[in-house]
Amino acid sequence: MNTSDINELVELHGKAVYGFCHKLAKNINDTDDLYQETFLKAMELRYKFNKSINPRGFLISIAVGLWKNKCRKNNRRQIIAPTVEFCEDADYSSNLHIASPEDVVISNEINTKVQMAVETLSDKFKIPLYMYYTAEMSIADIASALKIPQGTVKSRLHKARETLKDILSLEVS
Amino acid sequence: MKDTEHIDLLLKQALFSNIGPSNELNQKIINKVNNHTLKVTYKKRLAFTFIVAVIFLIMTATAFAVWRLLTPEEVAEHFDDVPLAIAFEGEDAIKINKSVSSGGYHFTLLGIVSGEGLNGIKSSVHDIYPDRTYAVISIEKEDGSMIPGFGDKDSESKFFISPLIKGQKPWLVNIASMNGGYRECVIDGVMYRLIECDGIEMFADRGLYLCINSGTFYDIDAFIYDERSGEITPNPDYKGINIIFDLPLDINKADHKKADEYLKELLEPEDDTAGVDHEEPIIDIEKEFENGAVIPESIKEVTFDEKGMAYYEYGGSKVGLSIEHFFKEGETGVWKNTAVFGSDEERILVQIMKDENGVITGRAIKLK
Repeated sequence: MNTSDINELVELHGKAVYGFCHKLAKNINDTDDLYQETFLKAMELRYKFNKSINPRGFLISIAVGLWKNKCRKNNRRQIIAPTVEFCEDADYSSNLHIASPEDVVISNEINTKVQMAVETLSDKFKIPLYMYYTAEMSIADIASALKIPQGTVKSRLHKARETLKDILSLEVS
Repeated sequence: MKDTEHIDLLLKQALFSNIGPSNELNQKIINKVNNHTLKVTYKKRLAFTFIVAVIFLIMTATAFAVWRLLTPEEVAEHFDDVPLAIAFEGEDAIKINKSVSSGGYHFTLLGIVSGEGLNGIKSSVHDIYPDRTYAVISIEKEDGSMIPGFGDKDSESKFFISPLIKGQKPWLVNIASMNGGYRECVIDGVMYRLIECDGIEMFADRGLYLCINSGTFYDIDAFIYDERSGEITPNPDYKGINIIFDLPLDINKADHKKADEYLKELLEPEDDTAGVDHEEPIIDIEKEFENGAVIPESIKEVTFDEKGMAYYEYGGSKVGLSIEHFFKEGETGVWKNTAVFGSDEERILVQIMKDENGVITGRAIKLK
């Protein structure tokens, strides 16, 4: 891996990795740190890197490792639930055809509820969810990044959705 | 809309992120990568030295012994097996770091990992049995002396290390019958052995062991197998190395049906001759040899153990040879084929030759 590879990685996967880091870190300062550390660690681990095989998964798996280490280090037992900041950043226009202020408020409330429900899940289920929905990785790439079988990824996503359904009790429907 | 689709849509909306890194942040990363100088390494080393000093004061001797050993991932990396090194770093890997001394040696079971496609070195066994288990064991001299390297005269590799299954006769079900093998190396006077065999996670709820005994094969005298309970324990009267480690695999990964089928196939193999198109591909070594090339750096004298067994080692693989079978009396200067090792992609033929002074030299030939 050389400078041009890093440039390419930043350009192609920077946004997805940053979004994923943001889901884990919650605030911009910690997100910046985690994102930066991820790329620097990737440089250290360049002998393991193969740009033709799941580069996004390679970066995301590094981010997961760094985040877990950071959590252990800081003895954070619980991550603070996301704030309205999520909703401000997100663009939901593709899914929301009605643009009235009331609907935007309702939609933001729903999103916040879902995000908070996701936060109650353990990392085992939460991280594959972020990889799938935020980093937009395929099942195969998630399996490769987490070094678990694809069936396990599917099962974790399924269980996570089922748990979320219970938590939300479909009150948002 | 179905519930599943509904929750999927909600998650897509709620977890979608439109936030991205600033250009300044990206530029900062690129600059840091470009300016990755020795200064950073030096700083880290200073800090590392300090940490070592503090840890040394507070660690017990045992913990220190484990700490200074290579990790399973480092051992896998030493064998250039990066996929396996990554697997040993993964969440499915189990770090064990348990030590037992026996017969003048100190053995530490460092870690174990199981799964499909974890190995960077492929062979036909991996196609037939893709689910494999890998474990790393370190071996030190109890008196603190260094274990000689394989090239040295006193090199030693006389341990049988194998997973065993509670309730299964250990002389029938062990690494040899479970399509196993090993790689080993000596680093800083410590021997590391990386063993592999068919996946054993399916037996996780039955009780699993890792045994070590002196010699090259399972020694029936080294352990006691209780037919009733299925337990396997070291024989206290055995003169030699006999160790049993418990393997703490996740019992949730047990699979009774798969395990029973595996054992049935292992212990009651069907008659393959009944099949029609079941022939193994024939490897024409002679033809491959014609196009092969001697690897110059592989030419070296073989070493001998105290029993007169000769050993030739190249590229991490070691061949034990009984020399008298290869040379007729007075026969010198003739290269004799001994063994072929390597993967399906790259086969290495080992040849030996005796000169007029009785010196036995080995060489490796890359077959094509």
